[in-house]
Amino acid sequence: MSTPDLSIVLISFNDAKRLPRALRSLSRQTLSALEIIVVDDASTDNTADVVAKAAAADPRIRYVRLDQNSGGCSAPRNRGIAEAIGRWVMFCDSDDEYERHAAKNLLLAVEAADADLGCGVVERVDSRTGKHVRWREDSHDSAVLETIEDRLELIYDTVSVNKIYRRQMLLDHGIRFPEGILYEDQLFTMEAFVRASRIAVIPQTVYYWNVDRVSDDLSITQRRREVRNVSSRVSVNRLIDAFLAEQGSSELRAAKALKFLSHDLYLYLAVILDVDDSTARSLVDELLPYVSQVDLSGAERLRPLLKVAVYHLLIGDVEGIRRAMRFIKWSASVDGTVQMREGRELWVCSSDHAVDEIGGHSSDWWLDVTVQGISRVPVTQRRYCHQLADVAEGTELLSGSSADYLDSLADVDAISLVAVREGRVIARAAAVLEQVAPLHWEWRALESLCPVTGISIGDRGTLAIELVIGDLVNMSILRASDVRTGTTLPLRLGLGRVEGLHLESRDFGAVGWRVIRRSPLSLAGAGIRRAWFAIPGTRSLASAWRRLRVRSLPRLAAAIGSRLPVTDAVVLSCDHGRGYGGHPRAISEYLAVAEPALRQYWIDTDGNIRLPQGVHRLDTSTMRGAWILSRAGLWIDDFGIDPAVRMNSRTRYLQTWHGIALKRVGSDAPDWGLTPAKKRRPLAANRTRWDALISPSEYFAGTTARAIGFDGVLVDDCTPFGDAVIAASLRPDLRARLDLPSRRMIVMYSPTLSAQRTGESKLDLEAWWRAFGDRAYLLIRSHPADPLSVPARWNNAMRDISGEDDLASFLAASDALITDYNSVLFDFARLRRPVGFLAPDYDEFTRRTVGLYLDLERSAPGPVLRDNAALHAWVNDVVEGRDNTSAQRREDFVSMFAGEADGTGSARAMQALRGLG
Amino acid sequence: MLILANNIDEVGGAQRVAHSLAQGFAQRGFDVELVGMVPHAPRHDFTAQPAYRSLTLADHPLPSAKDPAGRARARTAILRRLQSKLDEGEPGIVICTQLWAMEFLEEVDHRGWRIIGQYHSSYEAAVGGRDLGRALKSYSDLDSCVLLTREDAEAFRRAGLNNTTWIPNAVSFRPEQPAALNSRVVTYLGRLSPEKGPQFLVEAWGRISAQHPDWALRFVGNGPDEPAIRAMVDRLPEGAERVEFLAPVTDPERVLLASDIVVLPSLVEGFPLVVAEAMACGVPVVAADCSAGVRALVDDGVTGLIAARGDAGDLAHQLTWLMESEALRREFGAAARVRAESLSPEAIFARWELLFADVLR
Repeated sequence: MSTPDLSIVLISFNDAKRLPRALRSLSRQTLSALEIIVVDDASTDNTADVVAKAAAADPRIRYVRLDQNSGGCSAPRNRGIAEAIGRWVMFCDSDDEYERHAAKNLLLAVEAADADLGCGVVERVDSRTGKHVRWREDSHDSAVLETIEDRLELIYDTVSVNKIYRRQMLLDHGIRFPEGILYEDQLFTMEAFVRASRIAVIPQTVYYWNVDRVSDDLSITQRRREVRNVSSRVSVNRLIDAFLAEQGSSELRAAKALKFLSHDLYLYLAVILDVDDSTARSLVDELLPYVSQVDLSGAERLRPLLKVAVYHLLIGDVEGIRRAMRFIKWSASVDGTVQMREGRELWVCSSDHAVDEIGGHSSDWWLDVTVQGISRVPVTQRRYCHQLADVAEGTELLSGSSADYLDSLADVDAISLVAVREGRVIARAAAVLEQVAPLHWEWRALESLCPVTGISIGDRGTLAIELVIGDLVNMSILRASDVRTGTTLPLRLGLGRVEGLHLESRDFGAVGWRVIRRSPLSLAGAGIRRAWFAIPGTRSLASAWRRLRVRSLPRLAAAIGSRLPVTDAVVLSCDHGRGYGGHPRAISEYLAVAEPALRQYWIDTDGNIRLPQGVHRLDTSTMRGAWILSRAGLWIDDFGIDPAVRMNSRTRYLQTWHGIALKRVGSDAPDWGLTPAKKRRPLAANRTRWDALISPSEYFAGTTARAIGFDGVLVDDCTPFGDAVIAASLRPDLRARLDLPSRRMIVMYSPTLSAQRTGESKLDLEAWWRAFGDRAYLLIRSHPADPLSVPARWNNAMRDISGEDDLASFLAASDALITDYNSVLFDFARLRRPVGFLAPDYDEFTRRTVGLYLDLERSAPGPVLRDNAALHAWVNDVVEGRDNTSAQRREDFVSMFAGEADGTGSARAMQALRGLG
Repeated sequence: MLILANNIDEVGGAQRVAHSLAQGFAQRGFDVELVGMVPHAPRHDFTAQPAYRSLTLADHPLPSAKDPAGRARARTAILRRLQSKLDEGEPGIVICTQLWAMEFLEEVDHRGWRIIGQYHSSYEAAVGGRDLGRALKSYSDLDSCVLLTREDAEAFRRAGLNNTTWIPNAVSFRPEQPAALNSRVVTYLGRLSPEKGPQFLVEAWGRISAQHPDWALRFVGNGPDEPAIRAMVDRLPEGAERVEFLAPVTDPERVLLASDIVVLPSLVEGFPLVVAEAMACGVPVVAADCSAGVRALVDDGVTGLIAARGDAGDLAHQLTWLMESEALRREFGAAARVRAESLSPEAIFARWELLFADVLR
């Protein structure tokens, strides 16, 4: 056999069952010039037979057996290095797999770069769900690095199995896995990183790390709780430090110290939250001697509350560590308090061991959490730390404790324990709140949970505490380190029906519930349903009945109703019956005042809309709903009303449309010619029913109205929603009513729906939080089809308002707008306030995919910002009152594109509608 | 070496590429057989004196989907013949030029063979045409998956293919003399169908023809949209009389050499050969920004101009710019002809041989 290019060292111990899978993945590599060395760590199962069988089919497989079990990965891997004859070496574990092209991709990359080390991506595979997650993808962009200093974040990639090593490098520098220790990879990879002359990084997945989520996760956390594990982690860090002291640069040493604090140490501090006091104490004792000698200068770059936790570790205060870690692990729950000193926000340490200086820094430095801005979080957005106390067996009423938040609990007007589903309260129990110590309150429910009428309970949700403070309501989730299983809260549904909410632990320490049907009635109902569905054919019968009930019968009702005289009711709808906003809401509010006798119905498809008094909910999938709809004299809608519902010939239908388009729409969209007729039809069917369309501006009439093919009556210069924005902007109590900070600048970020729907924000939220947390407050309005996740830990600087109905008020309260191509631009522009266009994809969007009606760079009322750096520079200018967009340009934009809002839009729209006869 | 295609008889870009690959490898000493899955009538001869063998596995086209049993039988027969073809001699290299043919190859025992898959369209087209899932499934295990541009290779890599590389198609066509660029003709060469975007060109022409009375527009090709396009032209207030429709040609040289500008207003493309051929003729190109292939071929402002996709206004704007400057046309044309040399068969087949060396390791 000629010398192979590559030797793969596959280690195994008593894993004959999974070993064939690993071997198969190596035999199947697209690189064939390789040898496979199976190093058996003295297994007692039939590993040898399994390997012999595989070797018979693939002569590249060799078997090596250690005389006695080494108890780790290091000895077998080192033996593999000694046995290897290839120019390159890779490693694999018996329970994992190589990606098919791994060896070839890594080999070609290191050869092309003449590198000593190559590194690819590990993909974690959950063997139960089959879900794949690529690890640390961000640090694996394709590159050739001269030294590890060229990309220091690569040191977080500490596994040995996703890399290819020049064997000569391992031999020249004696790089081996340290034996008799866990985390052996960390030292090995660090030595390889430092010794390598050039490192090739490839973006491809090379290694599948198979994880059995339940057992492995459990074993990992279990292991972290063991003191032996901590000492191993500490030992390997000492070895790395010793190596770096000789061979590493100061830059690398600093990066490694920060990695230890932010990653390794973080894991143990998080564990301390969940273990009993004595385990916590021994973990602290094991960590403290090493942490005390770590270079702590990088601690400034840690998350503020992690820095606070490190301080409490240094002074040996377990409870202090837990309080700080709750903020991190329990999504920004504040279990402590802060004080202001010279404009800085300091976490209050209540420990007896508090010191003025430790680890080379003052306690003020350690406890400085200014960037976290805990004191600046508006009341409704705060995360109070409510903890569930242990529930005594057989107790139906819960109790627990709450940490005070800036002395606000004394002002609470009402408190209830609530069950919540998707942000909505489904059941409630009154409670009392008592102060038992400074900053420490206790609460207990006074009665069992009563369902809130009109809202379905659903299957699962969380428990929360609702606090009423003045006009504002705060709802913070109830949390606990561990929820005792078997606790069930009764939920009285009337008529003797009782359901149970079974409590359970959820992510981030939340206390969750699941409905247990236990009332005789519902149990009997479920039983009957099961028995019924066991009969063949009943399922299709049931779906036929459903079709009849939600489609055929309502259509029949509409068919009859639409032939009768119309009533004087008005039916309104927004966003296909899923919203309560836009022009229809503005008209509805106008009608409530101008024509209070007119009966208003609002289409609510999912039963989730909060409607004001006097506006009635309408579900058009019921017979009653279809009947009312088909007989209403007026329809007002901003999108479309189900064309299958027959319209009364005497009904007048006002279409408001949901926005002035900036993006090319309808027949102006580049791909219109490729759109199948089937997809064009629904819009066409709807459009023919519209009697009138409101048109805020000539620009709208010439672009949007024409491109959607409307050629009926236009109500010119009419924008009820625009009027609502202007009216809201005149309200003096606007910010207080919306619970927005009064002194900071308010900036709304409203991106358009991206084609990829990735849920990734173009606006770097973390960078915003660091840069503007103390100066500006960001309102994030994302599209429901592409929601952005807004982490609670940045709640001092931003708020997700995507679920809020009252967009007009939020727009009016904003001092500036950031968008890309969203039509909200036109409604905001009339306020003559700064607008920035964050559009890194501007060229691609305008020239390749969608296209715009306007050249933003020439006519927009603000700059096109290609990246977050440009955005920050612009926001800085705006915050400081400098805005380079001329007033004339803003005026021109309003007059040419948006059109003015004169306050009479609703009145004129109604007048036009009735004038149609 | 086997080169596989869906069929090897039809007049189409994929077939043309498969035949020229086969001829190129055969001339470089490989023992090449070109294999089509199904026949296609009428048969077109691509190579005058082929140095390779040709074979079509099925005797008849597949029965329609209304006859699933017949279809399944025909498929089985193709698979059996493909298997015996692979079993004939020592395993070598298979280049499978199309996705559908790949789906046959997947089902037979091809142990020992090194398999290279090609995908001739762009990533954008794969996403739009719902090919992406099929491509990811069929191509992920191959020894190599060859895309036409670096940008496509990178896009497919991001989508989950770990074996991508890129080699553009070769352009063997190179006239002795470049185009004279003195006829004032804008040429559209291709099918008249919605995805090729002739409607945008007619609209653009309507906006600019009045200012350029000495220019003519020439459509060369036919297709389902021809009546609609002709009707659009007839409705133009001006310039309609200077629009000419010619039947498709098999040899584009004459048409290209008689052009001053070649225009590609497409919504969807892969690596448009007509652009590469125009470049070889020294004709500047105005192309819509619709694929990585277009962007790789047309160096905006150097060998031609790139217009916004599906935007008649911008197309008119870019055309005007080029129509109004003879100097620019000559400059772009000369640069294009030089650039086309990088697509010469010598350059491209050298890259294929490097790829074979990697694949065989």
